[in-house]
Amino acid sequence: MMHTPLATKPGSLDRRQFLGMAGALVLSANLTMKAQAVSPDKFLNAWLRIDPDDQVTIVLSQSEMGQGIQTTLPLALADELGADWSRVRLEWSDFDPAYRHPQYQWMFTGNSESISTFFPIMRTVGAAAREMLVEAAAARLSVAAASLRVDKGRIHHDPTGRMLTFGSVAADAARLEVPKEPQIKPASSSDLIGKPQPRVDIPSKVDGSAIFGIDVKVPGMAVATIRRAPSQGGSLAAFDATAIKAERGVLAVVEIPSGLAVVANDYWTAKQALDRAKLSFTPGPLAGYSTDGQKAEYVALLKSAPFDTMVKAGDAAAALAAANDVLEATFEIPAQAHATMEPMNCTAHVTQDRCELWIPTQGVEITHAVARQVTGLADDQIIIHRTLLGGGFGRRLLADFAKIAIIVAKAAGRPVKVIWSREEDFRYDAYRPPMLHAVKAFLGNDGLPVAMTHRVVSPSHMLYIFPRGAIKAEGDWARPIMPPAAYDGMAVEGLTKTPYAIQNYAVEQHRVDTPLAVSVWRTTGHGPNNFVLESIVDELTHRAKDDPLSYRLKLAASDHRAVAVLKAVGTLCGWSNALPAGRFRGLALAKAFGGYIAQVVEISVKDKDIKCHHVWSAVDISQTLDPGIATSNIEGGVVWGLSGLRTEVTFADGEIEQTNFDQFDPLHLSETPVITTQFVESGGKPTGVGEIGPVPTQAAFCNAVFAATGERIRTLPISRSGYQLV
Amino acid sequence: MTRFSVNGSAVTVDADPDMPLLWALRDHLGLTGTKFGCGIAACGACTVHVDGQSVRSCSFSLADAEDKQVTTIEGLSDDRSHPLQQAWIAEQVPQCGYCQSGMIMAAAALLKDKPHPTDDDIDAAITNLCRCGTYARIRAAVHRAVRGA
Repeated sequence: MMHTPLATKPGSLDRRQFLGMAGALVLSANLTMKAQAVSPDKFLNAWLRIDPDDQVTIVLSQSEMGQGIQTTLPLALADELGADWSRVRLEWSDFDPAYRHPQYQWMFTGNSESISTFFPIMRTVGAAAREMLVEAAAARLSVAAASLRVDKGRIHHDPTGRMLTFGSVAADAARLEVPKEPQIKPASSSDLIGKPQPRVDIPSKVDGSAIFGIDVKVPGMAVATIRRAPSQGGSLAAFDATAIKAERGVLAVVEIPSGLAVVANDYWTAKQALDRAKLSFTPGPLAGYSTDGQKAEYVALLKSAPFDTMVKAGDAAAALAAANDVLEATFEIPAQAHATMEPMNCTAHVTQDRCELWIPTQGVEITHAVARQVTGLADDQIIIHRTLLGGGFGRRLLADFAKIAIIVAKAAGRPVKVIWSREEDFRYDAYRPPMLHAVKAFLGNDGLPVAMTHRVVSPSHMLYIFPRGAIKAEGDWARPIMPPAAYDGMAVEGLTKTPYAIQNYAVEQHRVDTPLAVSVWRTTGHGPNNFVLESIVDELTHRAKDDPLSYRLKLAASDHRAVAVLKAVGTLCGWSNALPAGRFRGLALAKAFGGYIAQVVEISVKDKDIKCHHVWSAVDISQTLDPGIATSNIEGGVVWGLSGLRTEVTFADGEIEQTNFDQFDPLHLSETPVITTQFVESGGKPTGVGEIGPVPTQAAFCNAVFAATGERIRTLPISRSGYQLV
Repeated sequence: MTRFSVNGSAVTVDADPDMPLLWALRDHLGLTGTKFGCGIAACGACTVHVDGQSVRSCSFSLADAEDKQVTTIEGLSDDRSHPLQQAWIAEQVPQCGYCQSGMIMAAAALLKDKPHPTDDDIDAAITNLCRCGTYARIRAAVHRAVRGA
């Protein structure tokens, strides 16, 4: 499916040339570049511009939310090109079809897919451009291309000592045919790939100069904040307009869905005005919703609802019916908030013929689409300036915060930065949905499972993030839609393709229709499902009176990548060594996001206080492009996983009960264990590392708790079993 | 009118004296390095120094800043040369980076008080939140800054 490429945006010649070519270059995603950008004096395409003054500019399609993509992807292109990385300029792209994920035809940053999708494109674009520059240089010097050597933006002819810079041959290169199969350097020949590189964004993040969405300043800009019905989706019933107007510095009051925005000279003034406005609300679709009710509903659904078969191997039901001593267990997974450190915000300036946004977003295309819907403007009248993201975790794939800013700025008739309070951020999140799992399994005489079934009760995780372009969805793009069932496997991922060979195996899902806004949360379905699967495997290990590592090695024997990470983590942590008194370990294995991870968690337990001392991970992401950045992703992932052992969001009377960090309490520094990470290089196409780290953490932790206490935790957070993480 | 000093310069802010220092810094003085995270002094993203003491500026009024010396992340050094900033770069601490101004300011206040902090001192002094989970590197960076390497 091909969409019409965007046309000219006013005021920028470069931009027009750039976008004019972008549509053609989308084909580079299939590694067959059919066309390229030709301009009178520059080499340029969707990803790369080389100016006559030797400035190399690389365009970033993927948002930086801490995962380091702003360094690794452009570095891959620069390295392949032979540019001087220290002098490369980086530029955020606007929305353009050229930057879509080729499979989903959708532009976004998420699901740990930036590396697997765009690394090959970066290498191909870099190699093609290098070959074209060399060919142009060869013609200029009347020598064979093979006699030239590229180094740091210069093309050398060593036999004669002559040299041309990229910029001096850029215009000639731009007129050449794009090579169909450019020669990509082997990773082993690279000075930059596979070695830790300093992240380009870090200097600005230690001196306060990094610009996040909340830091945007636009000439003439006002600041707004919002207050909406505490029960999500409720309606504003009444407010005291006089009290708002009385506040010095208030510029405008704008009604928004479910509430009110006050526009003022500063955030505090707007907040004060809302505090004094005596807002009252009527409940909406969440009226009566409660976590207690949800739990009871899920239990009832588990008993009587229809289930779709997602995977079926052998006949697990028959095998279980005939078996004695079946292990049956249910697991409860709570709702979670994203709670990015930077609250939702967006700056908008909307005029009759232009909508300009400054936004920290993972979802550039959905933001563009929402802007088009709300303003009625054309594609080329919508301009999205991306900022750094103060955390993403899936939350910023949605465009609800863009929509509100557009409404407010349009009404105010001036640029407005809309900043949500932390309370609004919690109340109007799209939460990781609560889930309920029922598992049955039994063991054969060899101690290995003969049959295992999973029943998962969960809403779709994809209601807000399914690539709507692909299904030509109509209606309000800020609202949820049910994705086609065939593409809606996220709630059971991690169960459907496991490293384990179990002859009779079934996974079934009931998709709950819920009034709660739910969406993806770092680890998506893999996190909760791995907690279930690896807890069960641990239970089976104990039934089989085996060792957790050796049992998994048997069960995963046919999956060499699983075996490799299991063995690696065993060596890394000294699995077979005796532990100090009072220390206990748990192990979990995960196959997720294209990679593998085996993790060991070491804890001690005093009364009901659990201290996590050390977490070891062995990780296979095929090829580790930057071991430094990848390690930081795993370290942060472990903390994310541990945090999720004690955070949850709950609801009563249709309202969320946690609205700030005094009630929603992620891990702190003092509770953070030592984290040791090793990468296993299995070769092949590199995959993402942003989400795999936390996937096995909760099972490994709870398996350690079982080792320590004999108590099996099957409901999260652990406070529901009386424990706390200290 | 509230008069105080920010990063060594005298400033005057014409705003509600109840306004938290955070918003005076961000919206009136344009110093956006100090971040808004929670508004209730729970997360520490807004940490600055007032007369050398670590303060959560979302819950510290403009009135209380009168005649005080305020230091923000922008004033820690002119050129990222503060040992903590250097250590933060060397250890590649930040991920999303949003909480890091507050983390560095909390660490800077700790080092003024205890130039050679133990792990327990770091645990007790740095109670700020980081959702990316950079804590292990923060600990390493504080120790590195002390070593001066």
